[in-house]
Amino acid sequence: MKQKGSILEFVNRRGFLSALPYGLGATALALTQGATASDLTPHPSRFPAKAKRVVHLFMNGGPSQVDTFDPKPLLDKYHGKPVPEASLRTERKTAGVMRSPFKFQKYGQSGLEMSELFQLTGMRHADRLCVVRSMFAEVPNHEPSLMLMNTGDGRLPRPSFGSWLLYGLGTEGENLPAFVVLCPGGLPIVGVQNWRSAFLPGAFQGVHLDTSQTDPTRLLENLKHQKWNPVDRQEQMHLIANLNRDHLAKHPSKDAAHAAMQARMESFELAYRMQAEALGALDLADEPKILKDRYGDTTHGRQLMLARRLLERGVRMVQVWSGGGQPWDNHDGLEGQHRSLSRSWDQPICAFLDDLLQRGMLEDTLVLWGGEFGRTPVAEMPALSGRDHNHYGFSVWMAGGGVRGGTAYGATDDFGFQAVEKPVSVHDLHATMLHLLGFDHEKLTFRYAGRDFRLTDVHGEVVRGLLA
Amino acid sequence: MACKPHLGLIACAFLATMSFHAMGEDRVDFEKHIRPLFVEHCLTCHGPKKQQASLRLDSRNHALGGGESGMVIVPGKPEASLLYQHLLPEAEKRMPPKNPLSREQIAKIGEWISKGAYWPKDTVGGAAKASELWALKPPIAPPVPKLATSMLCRDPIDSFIGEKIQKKGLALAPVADPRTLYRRAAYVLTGLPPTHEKVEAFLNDKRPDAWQWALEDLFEGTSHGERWARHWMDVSRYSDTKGYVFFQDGQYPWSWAYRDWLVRAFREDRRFDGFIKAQIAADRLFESGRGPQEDLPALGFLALGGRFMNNNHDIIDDRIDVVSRGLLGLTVTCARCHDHKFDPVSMADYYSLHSVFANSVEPEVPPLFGTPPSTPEYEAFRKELVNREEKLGTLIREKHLKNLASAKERLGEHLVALQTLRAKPAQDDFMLLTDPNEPNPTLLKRWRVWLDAPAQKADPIWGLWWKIEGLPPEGFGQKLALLLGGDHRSSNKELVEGLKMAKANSLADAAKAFSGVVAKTLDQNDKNAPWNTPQAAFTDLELFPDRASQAVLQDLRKKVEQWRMDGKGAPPRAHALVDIPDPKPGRIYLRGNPLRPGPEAARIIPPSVGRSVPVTSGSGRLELAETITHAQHPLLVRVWVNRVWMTCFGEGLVRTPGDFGSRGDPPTHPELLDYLAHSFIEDGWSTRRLLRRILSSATWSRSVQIPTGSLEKDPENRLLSHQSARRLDFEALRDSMLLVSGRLNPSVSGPSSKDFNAPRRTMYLHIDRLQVPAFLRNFDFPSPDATSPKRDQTTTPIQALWLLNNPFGMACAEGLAKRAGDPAKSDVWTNALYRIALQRTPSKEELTTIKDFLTKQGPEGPVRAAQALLASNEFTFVD
Repeated sequence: MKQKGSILEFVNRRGFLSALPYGLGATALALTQGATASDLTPHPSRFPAKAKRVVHLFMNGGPSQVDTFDPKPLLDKYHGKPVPEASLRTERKTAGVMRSPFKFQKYGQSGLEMSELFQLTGMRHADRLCVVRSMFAEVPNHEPSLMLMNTGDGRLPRPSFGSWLLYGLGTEGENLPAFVVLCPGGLPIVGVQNWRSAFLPGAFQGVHLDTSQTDPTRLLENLKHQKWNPVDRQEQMHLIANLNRDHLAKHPSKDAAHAAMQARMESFELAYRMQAEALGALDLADEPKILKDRYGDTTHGRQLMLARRLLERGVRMVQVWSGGGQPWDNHDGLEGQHRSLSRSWDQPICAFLDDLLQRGMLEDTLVLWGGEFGRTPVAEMPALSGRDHNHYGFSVWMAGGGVRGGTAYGATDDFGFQAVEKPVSVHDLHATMLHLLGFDHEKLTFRYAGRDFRLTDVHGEVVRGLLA
Repeated sequence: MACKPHLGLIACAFLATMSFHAMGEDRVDFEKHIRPLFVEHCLTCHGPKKQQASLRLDSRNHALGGGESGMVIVPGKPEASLLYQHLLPEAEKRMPPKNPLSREQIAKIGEWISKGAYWPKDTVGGAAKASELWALKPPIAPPVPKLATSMLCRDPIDSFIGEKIQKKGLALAPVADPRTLYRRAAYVLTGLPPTHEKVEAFLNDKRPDAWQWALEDLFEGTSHGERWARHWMDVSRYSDTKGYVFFQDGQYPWSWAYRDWLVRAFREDRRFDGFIKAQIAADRLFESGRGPQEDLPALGFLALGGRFMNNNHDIIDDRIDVVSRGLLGLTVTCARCHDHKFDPVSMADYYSLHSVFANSVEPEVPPLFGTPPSTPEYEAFRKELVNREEKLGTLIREKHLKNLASAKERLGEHLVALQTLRAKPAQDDFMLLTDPNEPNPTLLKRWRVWLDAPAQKADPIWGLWWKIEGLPPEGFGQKLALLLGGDHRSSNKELVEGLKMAKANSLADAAKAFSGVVAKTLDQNDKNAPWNTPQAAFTDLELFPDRASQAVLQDLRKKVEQWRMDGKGAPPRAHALVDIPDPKPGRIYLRGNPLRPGPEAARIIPPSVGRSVPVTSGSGRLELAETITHAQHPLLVRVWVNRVWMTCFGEGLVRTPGDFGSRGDPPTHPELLDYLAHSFIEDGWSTRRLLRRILSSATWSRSVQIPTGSLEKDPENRLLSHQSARRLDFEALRDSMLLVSGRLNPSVSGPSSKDFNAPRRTMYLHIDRLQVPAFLRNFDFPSPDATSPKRDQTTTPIQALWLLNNPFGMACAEGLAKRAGDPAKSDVWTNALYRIALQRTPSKEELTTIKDFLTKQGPEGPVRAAQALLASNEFTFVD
């Protein structure tokens, strides 16, 4: 039997036995009865961690790499003509090459080349971006690709990156859910599967906030009582505490049940405080106007400001989605839609990175930008104004948290169709991110159904070229 | 691992020059010369950690068993041994890729093979043998231990427990007071608290067998069946939906019929063997007159799993998992890609089971499980159903015929599309969609397979096309002319001439010419020809692979299904499985990849799930059901009595209830486990009798007061010197809140509630495995993605917020406050409140506390006080 994961050892480590019912050292998650033999306490890092938290800006629908971070001048030359020797299969019928309607230029000292769609971010932060131009996924369909990007498996129910992160890092010392998902106006395709905990405990799943709501009290479920004010409920909290104290006194021996009772008492204290603190975190009212102007008073501006506030308060992972459905899925009318989407993101991202930088948080916050796949360099039939799904090659970028800034890593072919130089799989990306967070992706495992599962399954290699 | 055809020759020559020299010298010793080479140069990629090309060279069995290309060592024949050939400098894919072996080293291996490839039998490593694993040994009835010193024994259970306690020198907790015991028993048996009146009645029952009467009372009614059905729903990964299935409706319209079947089975204390058999093979039992039609919904155990985007292999894997891990505590699905690394389960075993489930399908129309009433309403329902079915059938039939017609009319296009498949590596492209009017991709795939078969390569017409489509695009015309100018005695003359005339310069032109000659002559009677593919060969998605036609199909299908589901007068149906008419043996998929079929899998129930039994009829589900419910089966009953024990004590005798393999926890009391398994069968497979025994034992009845020394000597209470207080799971918590607030709607059975605030027992809420409500997961409700052996138990402020702020909790608090009467009479009200909520009267101090609270709080006071009680640890923990 694995002694390391025993309940008592866990309890001792967390200090429950010494903590007063209302003591400090509060814990957001107490696993009081392990359902598996696995160790659910935080896992000591294997390497010095560069990053302590993650922000994933999820451009769901699949932004076009050849219109954003992967310049391909040859597209102009071949505009309207077929790609020579192309035999890659796309989801739908495609025609000849479509030139990028957007201007590319070099930004920053590093001369990182990117399009005008993210020019503000480029001008201020090019030297901090680590663009991976040679990403590839497995199939050209949204559903499996979303699941692959988020959980490392395209079909089977597996825990999401955020859940693994909580499993690895623990959720200690927080008054907020440790994995928060911001998605305005409904859910993305495959919904909560994108942030589920699957066989990891339910407490490790992402908590979704509908950021189309601007009223902070309506963002998080059960944060506010319909009619009672928290202040009026102090007496009631005391009553619960008194009842529980008497009850605990009848269970004096400090076994696992005693610890569970104590943990539950703490959880009420925490919940009570959370009402105020989470509300505070979710309420942007006290942000200075100048900062609000920088982020912009838009859904994405508010989302990123909210993300920063959550990160400041110890949230481990914030996933920020473009919106419900698949906003970046521009099979036609790509020029207009990509332009308006990137406009809604560019300024907030620029301000967000600035803000993290100013607060000294960028160095240990890993920012990931990207979709579930990219788009074809060829136009989609019949409208010829958009691009089809492309999983053979696409771009993502990271910033902060120990990545090598001002870099463009790997390359697609001359047309931006397929990753050909130093291809990076989604598993490689996950392995690299876990590495930056201090984990060996092969060792962060969870015993379930007779197997040691990991985020990267049997794949993945840390991409050294992305590390600072 | 493709080899150049001439490699064998080189190998022979090479061997001839090298190895004779070595033979006369020193004797090749495997351990001295060969194994070290493997260890140093091969095992990184072909060893215990990685098995590239499915090859392992660290043990005799693995190495001589070969890899995905077949045998790699042919004793006595180095020239026929792939392993040897790949070492040679001339090899196309030389091994090891980075640091090749020296000529001398290669010669040594060649010599070793030529002398018979002696490899000593494996001594270490590999999976445990069946005879070594405790759980696979046949259970024998152990003698009841005689205790050294006398102690309270009400059942042999107590002697088994007592023996270890005495050995360890532990003190025992006293038996708990009757009030505590009654509440504890009520939660174990019904998942609900008892009413205060029942508790009082029990306390005043002076009959000597009052406890037995109390238990009988708790078994009565539906609550017991509901509670234990819910436990079983954890095992059977119950959900009302399929998960993500693209365009299809994700609902299981009659999942509830399975749930209701479970409730009834537990309420009636179905024999456990019959209970299991029905869930695996109710259809076969019914067919053969050995089981009732009413059991058909039991097959929901297999059928109601996730659908994994309709990937059939994942569906089968899930069904293997729910049977093997859920019922037998065996992690068989580990063997999907490789032999189980720790337990005696081979890939061959896995794929024997795979074929059992591959030969079981859902009938297109789920069967009824009762006789529909002969009413005018039902008659009207039936008429409308036939009408809708005809519309759907016509659409499918016409689409199919149109497809086949197009294959002939647009033969040229098909041929070109076919050629592009030729160069592509096989891929599992089940999810790829196409555009309307494109050649049907599934038809093309079949065509490709057909065309590549040896019979077609020799065909006077298709053999020629097979050669033509292999021509490179550069200089196509020239090469085609060259090909046609060659010897064509075996080809169709008219075709050769026609093609010569056309002077095609591209494959497309050639296809046009070819189809011009051939199209009219396509044989209508050749049943195997692609253009005569039967309709049954296509799934919906395959026949309608573009979004537009899918939408039309789904619309008509939905109209049928919707009507069958909830049309006026629609009778409920069972999510059943049936055996396909002509079951076929399956294949072992190398590395679990269906595109790489290996050897045939035996049509047996493999030894690792019991005894090896041949499958003689149908899919094998009946044989499977009979094998695992055999009284001598080592696992089924052990796993079940362990679950029952876990429900009574919080932990099982084996603390990994889903893994009885070598990586699971060994039992704390192996003899007791066997004793219980044995007596369970002798007692007629009755779960109720087992529960009665456990709940009457001294061990179960002990108090949660921890005896001195116990925490130090047995911190996790594995020896059970006392009971442990336990927190209610979410269902019990929510149900208790409903009950004490007087809101619980006692109506049972029928479709699940999509309103999560509905005042029904929680087990009746609608579970969508695609979107399991966050509050359920927050309270450790198990993920219905796979069988769940045991619940997590986490404590989070998110749970507390639900209790404090959710309208559901508020409604319960209001109901409870109201039930307690008039709060103006504070003491009377408080007394009632405590009795209802906690089944006890409040102490004097508690009366005062509540009184003070009410005084300070004003009109909201009573509801807040009631809510405080519902949120209290006393409400949530059971002593």
